[in-house]
Amino acid sequence: MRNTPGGASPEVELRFPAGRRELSALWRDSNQARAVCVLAHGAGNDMRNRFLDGVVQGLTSRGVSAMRFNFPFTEEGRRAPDRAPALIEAWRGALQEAERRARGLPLVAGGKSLGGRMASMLAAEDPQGFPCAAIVFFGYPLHAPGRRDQPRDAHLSSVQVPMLFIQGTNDALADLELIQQAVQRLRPRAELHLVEGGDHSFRVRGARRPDEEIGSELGSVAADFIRRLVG
Amino acid sequence: MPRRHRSARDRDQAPVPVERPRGVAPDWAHVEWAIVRAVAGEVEKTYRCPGCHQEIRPGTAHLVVMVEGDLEGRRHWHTPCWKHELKQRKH
Repeated sequence: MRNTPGGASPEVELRFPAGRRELSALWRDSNQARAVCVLAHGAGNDMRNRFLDGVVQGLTSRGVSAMRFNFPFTEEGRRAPDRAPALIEAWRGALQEAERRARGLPLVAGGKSLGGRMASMLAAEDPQGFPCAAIVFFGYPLHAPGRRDQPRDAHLSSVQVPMLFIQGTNDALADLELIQQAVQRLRPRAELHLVEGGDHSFRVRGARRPDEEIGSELGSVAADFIRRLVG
Repeated sequence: MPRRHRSARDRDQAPVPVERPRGVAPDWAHVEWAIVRAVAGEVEKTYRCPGCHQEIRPGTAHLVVMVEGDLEGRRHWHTPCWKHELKQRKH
């Protein structure tokens, strides 16, 4: 656990119920928080990764508290992500936990890749019951690599809350032209923030920037978007 | 008798480790969040399977899995271990 300057408390571990399971999360308060962002990791790692470390820093240094959580597969040390219903159930549990702890602050859902997509599936499934004011995608996986012909954006038109897509321009899972078109169709609810030259992990070839630094910058972008929405 | 000097022609005739054609993984092995392909196994290289943590011996046919968001991380799995891993997934 780290003590970080810049208006944030140390991160605390917690457990929360999701269906019949119990999952882990890390919560960090921001001083004078205006909102709480709940963050899910992607398919390739768990909640304790340097990119999300950075995102949490970026958010909490700008007035947004952060709760990141594990999906069942990472909680149990498996490599293969669970099927969508189990991932969505984890999201539901995480949001309920966040609501209990948020002291009335608005919630925002955020996720890396698969984690963000699952938040949007929940939002599309039950628009009335979705407890978040917005969704932030850190690299929406629009299509499988090489499969531009099978985009995964059909359900996004059912999402009723504002969405911020943070996307690398060199992402094998989101062709630049396709993601621009997808966001265009979702306007005015959707906004696009591009990371020039960034791949699916927002790394830029030759730049050698630490993932934590990349995450922190994008967490700040997300915080600015969130604070514009919630005032 | 002194050993004959090795010529370029001899080297051409020696068994060269060739990477065999990249195969298509069986249907059950595919998932939407990863790229999975079948490989014949390299002649000299040994890998460690993330499923059972045992070695994949040279020349053993197995699967190469690239999980989305971890695209630099190509992982080599024993085919049965990948099958088991997929079975563990929660619904």
